[in-house]
Amino acid sequence: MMRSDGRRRLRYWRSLAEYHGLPPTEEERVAEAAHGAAGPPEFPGDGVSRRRFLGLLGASAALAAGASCSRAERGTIVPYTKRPPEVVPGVANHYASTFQEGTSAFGVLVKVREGRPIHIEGNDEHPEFAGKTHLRAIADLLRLYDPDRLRRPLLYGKPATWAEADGRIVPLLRAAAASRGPVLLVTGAVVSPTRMAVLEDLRRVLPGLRHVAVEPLAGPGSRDAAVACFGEALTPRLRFDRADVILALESDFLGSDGQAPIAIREFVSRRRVEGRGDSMSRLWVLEAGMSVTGTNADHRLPVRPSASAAVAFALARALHEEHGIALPAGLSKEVLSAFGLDAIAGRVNAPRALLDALAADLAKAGRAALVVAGPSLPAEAHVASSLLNVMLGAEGHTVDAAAACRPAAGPATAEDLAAALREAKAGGVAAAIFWGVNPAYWLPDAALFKSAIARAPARIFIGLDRDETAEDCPIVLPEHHWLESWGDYETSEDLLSLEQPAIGPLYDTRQGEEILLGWAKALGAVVPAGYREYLKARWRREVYSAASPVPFESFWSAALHDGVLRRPAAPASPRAIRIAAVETAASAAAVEHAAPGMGLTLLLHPAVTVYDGRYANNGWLQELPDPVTTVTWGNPARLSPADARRLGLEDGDVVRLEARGRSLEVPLLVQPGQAEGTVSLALGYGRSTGSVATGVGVDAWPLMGTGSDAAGSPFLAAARLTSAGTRAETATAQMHRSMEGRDIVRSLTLARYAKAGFEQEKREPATLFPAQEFPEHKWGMAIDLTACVGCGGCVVACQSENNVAVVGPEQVRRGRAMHWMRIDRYFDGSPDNPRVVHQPMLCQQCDSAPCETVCPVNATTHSPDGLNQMAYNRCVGTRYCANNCPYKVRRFNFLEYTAAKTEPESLVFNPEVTVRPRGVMEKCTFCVQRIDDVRQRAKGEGRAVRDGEIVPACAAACPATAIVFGDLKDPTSEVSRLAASDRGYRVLEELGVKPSVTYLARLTNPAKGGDGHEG
Amino acid sequence: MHPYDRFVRIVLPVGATCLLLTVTAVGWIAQPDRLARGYAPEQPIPYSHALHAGTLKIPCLYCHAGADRSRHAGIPAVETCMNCHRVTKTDSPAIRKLTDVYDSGRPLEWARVHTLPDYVYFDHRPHVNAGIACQTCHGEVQTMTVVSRRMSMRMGNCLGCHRDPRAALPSGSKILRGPEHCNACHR
Amino acid sequence: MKADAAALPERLRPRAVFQGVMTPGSLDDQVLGHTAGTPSPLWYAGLAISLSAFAVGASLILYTFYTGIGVWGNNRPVFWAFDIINFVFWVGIGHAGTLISAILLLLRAPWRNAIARFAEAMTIFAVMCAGIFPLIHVGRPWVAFWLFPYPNQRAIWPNFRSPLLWDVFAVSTYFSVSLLFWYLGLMPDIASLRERATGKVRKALYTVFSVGWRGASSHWRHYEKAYLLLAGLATGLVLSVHSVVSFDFAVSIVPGWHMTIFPPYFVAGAIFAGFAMVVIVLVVVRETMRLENLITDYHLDAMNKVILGMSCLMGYAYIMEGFTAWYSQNAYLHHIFVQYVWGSYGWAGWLTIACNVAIPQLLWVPRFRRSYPAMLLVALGVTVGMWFERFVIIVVSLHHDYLPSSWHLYKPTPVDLGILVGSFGLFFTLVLLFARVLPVIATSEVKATLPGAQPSHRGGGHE
Repeated sequence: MMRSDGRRRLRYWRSLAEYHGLPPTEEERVAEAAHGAAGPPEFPGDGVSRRRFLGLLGASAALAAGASCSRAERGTIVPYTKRPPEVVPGVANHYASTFQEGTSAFGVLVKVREGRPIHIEGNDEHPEFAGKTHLRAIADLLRLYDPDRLRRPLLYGKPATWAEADGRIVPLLRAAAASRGPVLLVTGAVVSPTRMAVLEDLRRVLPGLRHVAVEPLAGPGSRDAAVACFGEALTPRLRFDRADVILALESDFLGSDGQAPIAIREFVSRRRVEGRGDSMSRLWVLEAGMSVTGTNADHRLPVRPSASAAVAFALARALHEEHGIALPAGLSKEVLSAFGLDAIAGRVNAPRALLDALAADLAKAGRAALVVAGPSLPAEAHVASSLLNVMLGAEGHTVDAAAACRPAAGPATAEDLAAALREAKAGGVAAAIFWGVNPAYWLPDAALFKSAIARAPARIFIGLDRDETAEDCPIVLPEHHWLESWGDYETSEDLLSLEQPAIGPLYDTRQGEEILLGWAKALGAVVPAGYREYLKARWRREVYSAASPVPFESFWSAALHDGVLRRPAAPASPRAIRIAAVETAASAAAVEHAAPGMGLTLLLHPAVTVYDGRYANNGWLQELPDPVTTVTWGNPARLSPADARRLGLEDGDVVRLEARGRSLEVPLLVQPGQAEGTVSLALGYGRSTGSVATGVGVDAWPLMGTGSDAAGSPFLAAARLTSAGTRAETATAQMHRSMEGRDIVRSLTLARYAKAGFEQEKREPATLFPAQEFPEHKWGMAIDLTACVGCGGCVVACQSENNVAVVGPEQVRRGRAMHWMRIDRYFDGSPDNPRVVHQPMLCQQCDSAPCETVCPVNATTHSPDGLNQMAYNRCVGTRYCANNCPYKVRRFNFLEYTAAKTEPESLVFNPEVTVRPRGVMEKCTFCVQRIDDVRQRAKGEGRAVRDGEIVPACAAACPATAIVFGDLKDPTSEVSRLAASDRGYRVLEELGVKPSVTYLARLTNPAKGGDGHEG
Repeated sequence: MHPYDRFVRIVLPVGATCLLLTVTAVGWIAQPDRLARGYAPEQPIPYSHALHAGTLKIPCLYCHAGADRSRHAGIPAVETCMNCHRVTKTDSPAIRKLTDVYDSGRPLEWARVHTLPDYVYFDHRPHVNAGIACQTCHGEVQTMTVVSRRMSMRMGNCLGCHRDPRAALPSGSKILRGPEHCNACHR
Repeated sequence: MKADAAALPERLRPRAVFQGVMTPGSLDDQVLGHTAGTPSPLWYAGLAISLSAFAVGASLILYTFYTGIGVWGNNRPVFWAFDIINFVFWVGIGHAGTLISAILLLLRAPWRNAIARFAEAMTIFAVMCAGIFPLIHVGRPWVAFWLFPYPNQRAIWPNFRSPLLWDVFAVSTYFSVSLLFWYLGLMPDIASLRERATGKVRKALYTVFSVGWRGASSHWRHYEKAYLLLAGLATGLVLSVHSVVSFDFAVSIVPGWHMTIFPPYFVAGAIFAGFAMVVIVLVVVRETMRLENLITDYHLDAMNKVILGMSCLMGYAYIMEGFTAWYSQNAYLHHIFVQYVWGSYGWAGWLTIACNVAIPQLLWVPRFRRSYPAMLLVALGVTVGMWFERFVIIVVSLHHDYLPSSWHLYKPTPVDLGILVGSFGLFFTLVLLFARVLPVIATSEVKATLPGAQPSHRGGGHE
């Protein structure tokens, strides 16, 4: 990424004209219109259409290059007619923007080449993300170029113009407005104040508007508990960086949770150990299904979700009785009398000693403790955890309600929508509008959805692609991708982030807000023409203080440049908990929801990759191995080894899973560490639309329930498993689970490290070969296994940066996945509750690389700066190098995976990296294109490359900053420092291949009392 | 001598030799190195480097401004031409066409003369910054009325110069060799 | 000379390498006669079968070229499988020929004369089959020529450190020398065929290929010298070529490949497999072409003794592998060796041992060395066993290497099997054609052992 500030300012700018707030010249507008590539100017003068033209231009140039093989025809070169001043062909620009998902908004930096967004990284100006972002944000770039995207409005399945669409819609809305008839508008949670303003404007002219801002994954448990305990339904900001001891109850805050990147960064900031004196936070996890968080636990207890509330209350009692921590005023200890630690220990068959240690640990931590309950838990569990936080004083310290996210609307639960639909069914609706949501897919009661809107005169869908809901709507309106859109997001009172287009609309689409504004206008509201103007106007009114010395335009420019606006935050203050809530919760928790006659408890959870299913059509995410199971392209049901033995089932058996009177067939995966008596199943699969998503995995949504049913949470249900008699091979990236006693991942406890340090005998054998000379640089990498949580962000970033192919389930099954960066996962210890380690594995760029000696055609050789270089165009494809690679990080194009791709898919390719054809070997290059770019720029500026200036895609994406890249020749560089650390070791160094990647041994921090997770 | 015997002793060897010679000759004549050179397609606008770069001595980087900032030297935007041609020679048919393109905003499609395979990542920056004259690879452009290709631009050309760049470098340059490892051009 | 022989005690006399009365004329009639007249329906049947097998293989190879080798079972980490197995297998088969004709010639083993020609022919064909695989196994066959060192404008040479490159040289040298050797031996016979040939085309061809051989004593002198020289040259190659092939594995760092025992082990294995294949074909030829009097039980007995000896060598090699694995205390190597016999592919390991070590022990019994069923059982067993030995070495070693995270099972696809069958098709097609148009027995050499002949290479000159 560019660092020199002059460039910096320029690069986020979409045009200098805009930078100075100048209106575009008349001929510019004419020119754009005349390009034919521009379509109707959406936001006149913002230069978007020009950039879109460039996007296509870049592609056509690429095609021309491809075609230019004969002497006769070398294709053409198409220069700009008018070159936007900030664009230099061949030099990337970066634009700050924001990616929203549910109630989270991620500040991102979009890398744009000749008008094409080609890569997404975290916005380093953003205080929360500090240059990191969520892997789903990185991957959602692919959706911009998804061939399945809607390209124009559809009326009854037939392509139509916007005029026709509006012509059909507006009268209906007029009628509705006149009759004040109910209009149902369903959107996702709204965290954008300006979007909310648009909705308000619409409501003003459409009084019957009933807005449901629903997030299917929003659990009623946490909301109800929050309301009951503190009288307000808000999700406080959890400060993992302030926590010494963290207790996670069925919470995957490091994995599937929307705030994962922030959580990871803050959590790891307290896990990073520089020297022997340093301390670490300690993570206790009580969960049923093994989650990313569970794999990072210092102590993990497999516990039925139905029991976790009781455990929490028992801990509260123990804290009070054994550690003399006061109960909240007015709460009598009798309320907790039902929860003896002994009884609980028996119920969840956990060693009493361990629970004691946990209680002691929490007591010792006091306000620096943090108890987190997962969204899937029933209300009482959330109340219990709140109680613990209040008792410990964590409330107001690690639990920061002041910085809580207060969405402008929502998030309503699926149940709330169901209620609204029932209402609509009864009372009838004039129009049903679905904007960016897919209830037809995730609403448990699909029949209700259909019947409820069946009689609505207008059924309108606004979205990116023709999903299940669009299928049910005669009027389908295509929306901009977020990379084509304007917007602002308020995730907390002190933080406003801006969204700006990085490319002009590829198709004849409109921004959702614009569509609504159009209707509002048609219904007589007085609103600005475009959403950009609307946004600016609102900011001028609401955000910009007239008192400020800077003129608005430069204020606005600065905000756009940074993509984020900080505002003074209220200090965190403790909230008092309502006793009544605790009492009811306690009585509820006293009796565990039994599973009558069913035997198993089903636990539904979002997938780390496809989330609630909205990303199911994204090949990158489908092929990203699940961090825990390494399963790609599907969602097997996960069962504990004990239960599997009991039911006589094994990996790959197809089972019939019955719950809530519904049943489905799903392949089974025996999951070490799964709590006995539970079965986990990921949501978000089994879509019936989308060329990628269709038929991948099984749809678990029908098994979702309501908050009010027996299990107490829609995510939980009593379930029965029976064998379906057939087998199905899941596409698993990693077949073997054990490390076979090889010290590939070295780990030890903090205690032992503090006492004795880390003694490792050097295994490097003597060699006859002379040591290599590296005149200028020697690139190397250091990976801290203590910091790495195994989220998989690096894998996606690498895939996006290096044009890595998506090969599909069949090829993955045959062991042909193409990821240059993979995350190995090993289980260790008893299968009932194993220790888990993650290890990012990429080309180790060995100095004495075994692959180099055996290539017959010199296609892979060593570079003077210590890189193991791979010349694809020289490769013949003998695959000898891959056989001889002890790390098996080389990937072979067994078939034509990528090279045959055409527009729009090919537009996502990074023009700085060769697209590999079939029959060619490929592997990690340490992002040599980034190295070269920085080196050339440094050369041009007549200076040396600064340490940390070159950042490979994986390192840039890693929310934990576990990956550090740099020059090993420079003794002062960060990577040299880490490589010299006493925890540093090289995998398989006994082979004498001299890898350039140093791994830092994994440290765990188990409590004295409990069994440590020692490796 | 037995007829077959003659065949074996004379016809066979002679025939074989002739065949071999033909193959070699064809191969030599048809080698891309020779074919690539001298390619001079007709351009949409009869732009003369001989006039602009030669007579008028406009520096190369005035138009090909990317050469020292980007991997690609770049073809100037029509805008750049108009900087002068708003006022100069506005009546000539070519310039009228140019003006027309500019006003309409239509893209102007030049015929590509110099190409490299897309797995070659040639970077203009280091070469220009090292003081290597554009003519070294592109030929005496300032004398060309119609640009034609003077170098095949195949790997041999690159390596030849990288191994002994003295001829190309300005006198007094400290550079002794160019990089020869794969990553220098291929990724 | 015969007189001296008579003077010797019975057991010391040179064994008669043919049975019954035989004159040069009768020999020619018997051997060269086969090339004239219409072949038996049996021959046509055989040709039909092997040709169609070959057709299947060829079309599957084209299919592979068209789609990429993804249609094979190869995966990560098993990047090499049937392709290289077949290559090593066929190169191995190609060993008997040169060994018999060259080494046994130098060892003055007279029984070789009758079978040498055939063995040599098989060498050529086997190496041709082997030659297919290195070409088709690469990801981009159309640039496979980059493996050859030729001056080019890219100014890149092949990597001379790579065993694969050594293969290119070793195999091509071996092939060309064997071919020369074989063709040289053929010349006199082709000449006599030329004399006997009736059809115009045949006459023309035989004439051309007998390159003006007139049987002058000067011809014979040159012939003998050249033959002897080539024999010496070929001898070295017999040992070198499979040693080099074994380097493909021995030089790598894959556990189970990286072994010093590989070169001798591979050479022995090659001779083993080669002899087995010779026996199989020989038995068929002997029966169908009525050559009992030329290819006697004594020949078969001698062949089987060699097979038995080699079998014991293989047994030793296997044990040594195990010993190395245990004695080296190298965890990775140890793990792999356990996989050989107890892993997912353990059956292949046991099959290998059974076929290559156990069954051949039958041949200790003299009766079995001369009974068709026994020797065919052994020979077929060895052929299968040696194929699976390569399977074990290549696939099993690869599927469990250093990082357990990348361990993966290997499953061949129909295409793999089809191409294997195709290679057999090609081999037998060539064998059948050869048996049809060329003398399957080196008459000139056998004549040298006929009573009254003055075998020139035993001191030369006339009495």
